[in-house]
Amino acid sequence: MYQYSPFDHDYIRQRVRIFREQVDRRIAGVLTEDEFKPLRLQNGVYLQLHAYMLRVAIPYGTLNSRQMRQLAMIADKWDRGYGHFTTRQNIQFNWTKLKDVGDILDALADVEMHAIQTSGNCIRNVTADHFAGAAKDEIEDPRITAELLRQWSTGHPEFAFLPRKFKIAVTGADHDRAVTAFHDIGIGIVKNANGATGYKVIIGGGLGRTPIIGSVLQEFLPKADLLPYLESVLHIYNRYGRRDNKYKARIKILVQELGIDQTRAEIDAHFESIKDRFQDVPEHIMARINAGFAPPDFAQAAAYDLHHDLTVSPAFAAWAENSVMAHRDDRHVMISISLKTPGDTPGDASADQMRVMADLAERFAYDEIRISHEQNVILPHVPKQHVAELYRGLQAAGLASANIGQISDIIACPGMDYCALATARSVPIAQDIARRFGDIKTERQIGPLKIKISGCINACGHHHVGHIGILGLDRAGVENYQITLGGDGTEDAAIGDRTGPGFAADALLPAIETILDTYVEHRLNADEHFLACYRRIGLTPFKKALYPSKQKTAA
Amino acid sequence: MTITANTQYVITANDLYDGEVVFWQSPDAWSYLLSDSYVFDDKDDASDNLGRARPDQVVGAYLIDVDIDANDQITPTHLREAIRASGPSNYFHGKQSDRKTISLADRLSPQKGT
Ligand code: SF4
Repeated sequence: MYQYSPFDHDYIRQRVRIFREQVDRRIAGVLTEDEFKPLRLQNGVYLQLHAYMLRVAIPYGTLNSRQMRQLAMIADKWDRGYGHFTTRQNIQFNWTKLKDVGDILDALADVEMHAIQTSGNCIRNVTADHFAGAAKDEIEDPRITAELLRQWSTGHPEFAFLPRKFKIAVTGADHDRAVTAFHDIGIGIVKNANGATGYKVIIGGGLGRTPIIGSVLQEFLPKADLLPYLESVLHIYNRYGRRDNKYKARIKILVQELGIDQTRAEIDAHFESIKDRFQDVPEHIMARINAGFAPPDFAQAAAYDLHHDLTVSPAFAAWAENSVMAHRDDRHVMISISLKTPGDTPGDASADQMRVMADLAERFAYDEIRISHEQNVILPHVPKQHVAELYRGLQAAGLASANIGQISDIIACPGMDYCALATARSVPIAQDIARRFGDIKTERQIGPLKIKISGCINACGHHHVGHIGILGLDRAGVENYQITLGGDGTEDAAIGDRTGPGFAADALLPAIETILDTYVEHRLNADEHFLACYRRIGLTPFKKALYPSKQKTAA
Repeated sequence: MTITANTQYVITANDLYDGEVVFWQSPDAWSYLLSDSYVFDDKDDASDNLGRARPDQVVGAYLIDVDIDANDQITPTHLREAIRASGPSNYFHGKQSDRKTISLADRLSPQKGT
């Protein structure tokens, strides 16, 4: 993975020193909360319901075992023994104290981590396909581009006060696992007719209160043009993006107002004016980044047939069916570790579990760990010969749920149990659904299904792109849950359709059951998965089943 | 929930140093426990004291609506405030464990309602 340069180290330490001074001045009463708040947010410190929350950046979701162990240490020493992995591949500590934040940031700096640009109206942590460097369908490792963008955007003075936050995702594969259509900018690495590699650039996608599927800005952008081109995008956004209304400030609204053609014309005009002045990325910098993502020596691993291991243990086979995926090198597999054991909080890992994952990654997986936007942990390169032993290690730590991609593999934001902006809880809803439908038999019967839950309109739980999306709202002081169906965050991007009036918390499980029954009743066969079935039959049968008559509609 | 004529008020905030939820007891005195808080009958009176919350002690002070039951127990009318006063529902963390205050589950159990 990418290693910090001496400049990176100095920069991070200096930021920690500055923040310590800011905290001291706040506590001494020299800074008011209004003055201090933007400063703490620039260092990832939010104030949530019960405590300060520290959001730590995990660039493109990549960690090594040393970093994972340090996160575990932080969880034990300054939090309550766990951390919450988010849909932006970051980790949040929910119980931090302001007076400890300086120490935590120094502990992060010790392992080349920080919390910069995890908040505020700047370019946030650049996310990438969690199977980067390992997926079979990959053209190029997207983290090379993501790291280039990280270096370009970190501390860039022109982008420190954008109209609103700005999120970039990169995928290097045909199948979009990075939700690029729903980012301010989504970048796909593509090849053109001549076989040259470049970028497809999508702009103006987003979730939140105005969900929009991004528009194609460039079908093929030559690689060398990436930085001046994105600089032009940000320039136009800085110039025309709305600063008068927070809800209209994201670039998606600007693109809607200007139209994609006008947006492109403005960006292209600026690009033409700056591209000659823009220096190419120096070769030695590009070489350093490329070297940081050099794949492990896959040839070290012996050829191995997993088949025998699978026949020995049915539990192992059941787990492997969903958790083990083909790797681009056929001596290896990619492994997803579920942080969704039914009844547990989606995305949470205890410090002990973090240490187990770190140990297993170090012993069996070339020391590489990824966090997925689906709030699971990935070991991208595992030699087949080690899979069975790795499974036993996971099992002993309560990390061997066989539910990857199934009903109980639910994305859920922290919701009203933690989040100051929430209108309803999301975690207990996820727990209830997983407990009710998360047994292997039901999951096998239903097949692949993505349920995503947000505790407010901000949609951190990606509910708009859930096959079943759940949005928690506040109806006169009582939690109420709206359901959407048919959302999809992949290359076939779709925003879910609202079924109708929302459901009270105690009517939600029966409603989910009705949806599942309706699907099973209408599907052509067990191979027609929920999303495909929904696309074929549409909302009507679900609506009929959910709201049999207006009089009986749930409150 | 409907706001009735006898709605009462409590001033709450987060402690500046540790971020924990606090409740106003008397000028410059804040408690970690809702049960210690001063309950205002009069909103203007509550607002006056809210305006005097010291920014070097607490962050983001505001008023919440509460009900007082026959046993003098103070109950926030809104779920969000019940969670702040006890802790989250997914772990037995926060005040319900640290301060041995009433648990969120007990606050939310039906007999505590009207
Ligand atoms: S969706 Fe709303 S409740 Fe959930 S984490 Fe985001 S802001 Fe908080």
